[in-house]
Amino acid sequence: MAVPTSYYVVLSAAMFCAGLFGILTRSNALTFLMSVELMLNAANVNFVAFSFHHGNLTGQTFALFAMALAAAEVAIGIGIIVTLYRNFGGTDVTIAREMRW
Amino acid sequence: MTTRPRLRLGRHLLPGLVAVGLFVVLAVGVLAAPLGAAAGFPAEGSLAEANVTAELADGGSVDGGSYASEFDGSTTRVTVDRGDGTVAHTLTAADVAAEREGDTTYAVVSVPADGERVGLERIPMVDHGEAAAGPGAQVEGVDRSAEPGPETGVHAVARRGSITETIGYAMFDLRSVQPLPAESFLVVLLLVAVVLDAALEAAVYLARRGDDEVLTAIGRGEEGGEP
Repeated sequence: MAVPTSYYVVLSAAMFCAGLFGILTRSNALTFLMSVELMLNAANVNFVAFSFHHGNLTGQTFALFAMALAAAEVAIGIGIIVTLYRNFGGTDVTIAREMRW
Repeated sequence: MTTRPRLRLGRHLLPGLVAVGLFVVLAVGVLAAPLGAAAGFPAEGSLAEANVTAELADGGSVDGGSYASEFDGSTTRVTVDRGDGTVAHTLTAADVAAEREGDTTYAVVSVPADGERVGLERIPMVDHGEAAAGPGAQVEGVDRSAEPGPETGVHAVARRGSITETIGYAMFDLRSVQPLPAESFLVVLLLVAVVLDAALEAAVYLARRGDDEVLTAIGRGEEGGEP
């Protein structure tokens, strides 16, 4: 017996809201990155759930590419965090207030 | 020492309420939405798994029923009677690809059934022409003009559609052989390849300390000392 699609979508909504809460409350850049990943993966859960719902594999393939894009995003994000740490001595996003330094 | 993030009610109350409120709205909306039953993917034991034994070119017997096919020059009409109602499928030449196994060339046809998906079926072809050889080759039609025999009838149902296999085919735009429905992602694959390359380059650029220095932290100490 398959799990109903709506349950997956509710799980995805919970993941998205957890990520949103993390972005709104934390000031550490690494926690930011984790929260963004959580929101991105919530979208992936939706893709896979609706792929199953419609019996079409487009959603699953798209989720695969979304994961690849997430990897690229993390690579650049961690690079930015390293630069942030070097220039400001920490990863608090509220300290860095300028785009150039 | 372990540090845990603390929930400060004063500063975190409003974001918390926003997040919980959004979740409640989304959950209620989703649970109340008339999504209906999931179509899903083919299960074991569907028609694609049936053991088909051939007797005639234009028909054969399947487990628990009979199987007939007609070819009118451009369209193959396959009819399956399994005792609980007749299911008919109309196939065009575009749905047909060729596959060779041993000495026999099969026409591989994608047969979507009503309410269930059955993946690929293979119909042995009488004409073993060069154009028909090799997976993915387009076939004009299945030649039914030869004398009927064990090799000319419906020989076997190939396999059920594999999800992983379909994703692989969809990424390279091989729609003629993919067993399950999916759109083409060839352009996306190339774009993502470029984006990942750019991300790698950007990550190395950001991790550089100066103009000439490349990743000093790797292999050496932070200040250039011994590892």
